[in-house]
Amino acid sequence: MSQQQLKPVGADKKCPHYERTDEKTLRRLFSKVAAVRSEDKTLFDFTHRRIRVFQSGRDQSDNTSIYTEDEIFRQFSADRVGNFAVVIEGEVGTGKSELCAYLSHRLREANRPILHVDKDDDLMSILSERIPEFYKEQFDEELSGAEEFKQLRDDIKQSPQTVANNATSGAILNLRQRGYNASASEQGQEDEICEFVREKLQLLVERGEYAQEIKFVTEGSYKQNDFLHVFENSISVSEAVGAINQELWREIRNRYGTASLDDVLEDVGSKFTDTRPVIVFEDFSIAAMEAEKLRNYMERDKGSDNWDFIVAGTRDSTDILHTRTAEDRFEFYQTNKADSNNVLFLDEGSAVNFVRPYLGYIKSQDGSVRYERDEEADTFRLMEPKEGSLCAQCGFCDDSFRDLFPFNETFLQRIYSGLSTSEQSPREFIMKIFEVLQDYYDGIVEAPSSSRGLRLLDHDLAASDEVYERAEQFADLAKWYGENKNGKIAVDRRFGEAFGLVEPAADDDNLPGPITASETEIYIPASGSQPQPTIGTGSSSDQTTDPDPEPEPEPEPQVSRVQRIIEDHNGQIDSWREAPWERKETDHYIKLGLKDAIDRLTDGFSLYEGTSLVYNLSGQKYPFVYPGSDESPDTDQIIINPEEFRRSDLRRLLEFGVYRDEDPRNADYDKLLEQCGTQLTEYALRWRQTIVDNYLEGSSILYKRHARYDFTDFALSTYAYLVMLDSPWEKVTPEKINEEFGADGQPSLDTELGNRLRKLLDPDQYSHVTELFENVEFVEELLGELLGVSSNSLDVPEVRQRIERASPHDVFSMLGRGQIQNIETRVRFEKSRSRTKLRKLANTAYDFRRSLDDVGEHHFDSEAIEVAKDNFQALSMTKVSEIVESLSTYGKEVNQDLLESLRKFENRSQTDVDKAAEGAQLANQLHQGSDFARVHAAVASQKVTGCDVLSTFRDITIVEQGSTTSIGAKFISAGEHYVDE
Amino acid sequence: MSTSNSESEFQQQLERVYQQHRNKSLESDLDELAEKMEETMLQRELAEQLLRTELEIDSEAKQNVQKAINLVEKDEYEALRELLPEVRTTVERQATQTENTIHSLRLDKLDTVRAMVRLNERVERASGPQLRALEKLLDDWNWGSHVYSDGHDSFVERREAARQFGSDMSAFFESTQEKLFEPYGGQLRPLIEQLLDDDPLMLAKLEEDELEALAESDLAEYLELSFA
Repeated sequence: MSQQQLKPVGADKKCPHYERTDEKTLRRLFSKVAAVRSEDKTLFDFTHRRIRVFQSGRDQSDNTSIYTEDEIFRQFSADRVGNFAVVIEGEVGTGKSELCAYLSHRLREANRPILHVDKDDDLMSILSERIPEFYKEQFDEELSGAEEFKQLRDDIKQSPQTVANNATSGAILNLRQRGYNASASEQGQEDEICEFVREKLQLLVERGEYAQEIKFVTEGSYKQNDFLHVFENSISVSEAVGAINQELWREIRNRYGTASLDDVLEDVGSKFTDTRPVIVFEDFSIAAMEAEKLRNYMERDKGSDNWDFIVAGTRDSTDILHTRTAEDRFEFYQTNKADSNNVLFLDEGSAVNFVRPYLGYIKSQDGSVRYERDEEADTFRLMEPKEGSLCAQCGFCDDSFRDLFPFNETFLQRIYSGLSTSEQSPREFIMKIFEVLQDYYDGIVEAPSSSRGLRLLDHDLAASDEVYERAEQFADLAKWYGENKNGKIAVDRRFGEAFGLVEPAADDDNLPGPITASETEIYIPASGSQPQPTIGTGSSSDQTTDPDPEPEPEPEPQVSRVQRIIEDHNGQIDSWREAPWERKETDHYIKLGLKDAIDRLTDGFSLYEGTSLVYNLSGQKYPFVYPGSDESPDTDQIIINPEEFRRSDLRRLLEFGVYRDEDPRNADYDKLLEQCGTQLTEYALRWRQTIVDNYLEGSSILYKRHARYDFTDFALSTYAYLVMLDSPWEKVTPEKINEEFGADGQPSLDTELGNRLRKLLDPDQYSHVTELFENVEFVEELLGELLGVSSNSLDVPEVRQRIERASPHDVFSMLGRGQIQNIETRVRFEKSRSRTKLRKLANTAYDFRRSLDDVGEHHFDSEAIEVAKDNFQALSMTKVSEIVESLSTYGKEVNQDLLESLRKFENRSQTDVDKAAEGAQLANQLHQGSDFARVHAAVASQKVTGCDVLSTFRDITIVEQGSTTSIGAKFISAGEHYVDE
Repeated sequence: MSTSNSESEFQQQLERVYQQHRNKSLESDLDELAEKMEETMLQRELAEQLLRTELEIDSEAKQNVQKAINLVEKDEYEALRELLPEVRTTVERQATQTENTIHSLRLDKLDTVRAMVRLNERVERASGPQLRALEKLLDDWNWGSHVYSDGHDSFVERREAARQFGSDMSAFFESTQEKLFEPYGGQLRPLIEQLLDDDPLMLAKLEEDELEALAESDLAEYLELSFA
């Protein structure tokens, strides 16, 4: 293979070693189960690091005595008498299995028979499979009694009910034999016990479950299930539970003639006469009942016993082994330091070397990577690649990272440092590297630095905002590979070329935005490198390849406290995105920024644009939760997935949140919204819709019997009623509603009508009317938003459609007290001086409708209507004035009271009179109509009654004088004589 | 209460009230004219008897009154109202003319009656109160109290009363005049009448017999000489 053929790194973005490594090898290399890796001795030896542990056990809790793995191995003397055990305790992933594997290898090399109990083995598989297999392997013969175990296992698998029935009835009889007054005489009781036992038996053969559910009956289940109470005499719960378990298990074992684990081990161990067999429990999780017997076997002082035990497990699972006797006779070791996951063989200083052989192994197969190891100093020296190997031909890497590629030391160091203290265990570290490597290997990311697996890791070095906005991959590259150089982050150019981010040739005209490069390095502006007091936009974007790009040293800019906080948390953005709840401080700022942005975008959490109807979100609460957090969203929260944000947006959001918290006056809403306004607006609208859906439009909100009316119907009906009381003498048509909406000011209670209603209604009833009007401004705002087509015009066809579908009376009649109570009290109208809960408004509307119905039912004033109709229709006030004027010329001949009342009346305008006449006419028409029309008729009639025109008219008393029939008789008489003279 | 849809009941009622007042006013005007005409006719009747004169009513006034009568009879009140001012003008003018004529005549007669009163005060041959009553009638022309009295309910009766009163007054005047002047027959009567007319006698111009007759008459003690 020529060198040309072997340099695909820049082209294919992968090291040729990885292209030739299959996934299986990769997975085995990075298996979290040490046993898997240890199956390949070469692999295990290449990657195994010397383990040192603390001695624990009695009086060794201070972590002072440290033992190497070799020292532990030497504890297993072949000349020892009696059983011996090494118990390795530690948190998950701290090297227990690795140590087990190491000891196993060493003991195997010493020709010791090894019985390996897998972490997934349970009691039944140990008895029925592992021990018989071990026995067969060692002595080439079947273990006596193994068949019974297999039979028991098969029966439980295939006929669990039968096994359970036998066990249950037998156990009850056994209990009676032991002197307990036990019976299952209640109807169905025995069946229930059988069913219960059957489920437990099945757990025995279901891997994993059995390990967790140790007993047939626990004290908890005994207390919860009355059917388990088989004892007629009073005994304690613990005694009852112990007795039942013992007899159930005894019955099963007796039926199948099986021996217990300790019996079997004793039997098998006795067969080894010239060596000591070793049993390795890689992950000790034996059922407690059996574990206790096993422990007793392990610690018994019997010279004929000859088993060596290696037991690894968490402290919880090995707790049963901590008896005084056991602690005296066995050795207890602990892999991790107390109260942490840190181990002795992995720390900041050793992290790179710890992982080095794992990464180097891939390249070791052809001799590309070879180490000269100093076991004592725990160091590696990378030797020259073997001639003809891939690395020898490729030559792309230099020795500072050849064995580590696609990582470098900086990267690996930062991964370890980025893990939280609780995660800095060998397994977590290795698995994190594997996670990153796999993303790269699978082509999910162009560069390992962009792996999603890194997001949870903290690291403070961050590129500038502009890099995140315009060249996010370079920001990642800088974060993980880069070194700070005079305010910029320098990255070895070869990594950029290897991952296809820069061209191998020095033609860097196409580098994005603020990125520059030299022949050897890529320069990426660092966060805070621009002297900007607030959110900045980065340096000039037209900066291209500088022929001499080595940045000049710049004086350190003065950084404000706020800026420092922002920079501190910028490095947490990625990890925050993965698990916000684990980055509480960063989360606080981002949450605050998000909340305030939504607050601004919803105009103070208003539910409809431009209205005073808001949701009064608790000051302690956020309008959102994250998916995957412990919090499930409340009905006033939406789910916001941090993954939906670009990282540059998150940085801006963080910056905004910090300013909101630390220096609110300088928080720049405009810049935030300019960058991610669309996304934030989408959240704001989604939140708003959630509130509307849950609190305004829910099927049990406002209306009873799930009426098919919505909140818009409520607003429209309320407004229609208000219009009716504002203009009682006009029909409440869509056009009239629109006219009122477009007019200056809001509808108000007609004065004359108001006076009448005050007289007719109880004070409470009347107050419902006035209270509804007190909210007219809110209602009008709502209507404008829900049905408006402009600031002063409604969608009249829509209004018509709604009113024709259901009159305001129809809608209000379906309001239900209980459903109104379902309106969240946080939904309310807020103006500078007034504050009204929507629930209160709805209750007022409910009461209002009842008051108006009372008016409609009892207060239609037909007499007033008749008077107004008969006298005001076609009445010319000009004519009235003329007559009054003419009558005045007759002086005292005219009744002065009449004249005075007429003069008052003539001051009423023609318009007033005409309106009263029309009002009366309207009332008359409506009186025969719908419920709403009848209410309107009564209201209109009451305005007629109370109107000034009618009351002035009623003051006029006309007494007609009768017709004059013989005018001029005297004149005729005298005239005739006169003419005749 | 019911009404047609096109008319306001109140307006109709108001118009009726107005009409009633209007008609009442018209009737009042007509009554006033009727009274004026009656007074004219009654004075004329009285004056013809008392003052021995012939008084004619102007034909224009008659025509106008006739027109008015026609309109009243046909209930054409609006036309009547339009005509009425002209009727009033001509009737009043006629009344004024009649009163003026009577005024002149009665003042002439009043002078005679007043002389008769002065003479009678000296000779006391006639009824003094009656003579004073005649003087008052002619001076004040308060004839109404003698005509408009109980029992004279109709115009005809009042006209008859006026005629009778005039006739009675005229007869009284004639008889009283005879009583007072009968003793001064011959040459003395003109001298007495001259004295009654406040026309002084010039002694130089009197005849002897005239002086003697004066000295011998019952007026002698009331005669005196004086410088002119």
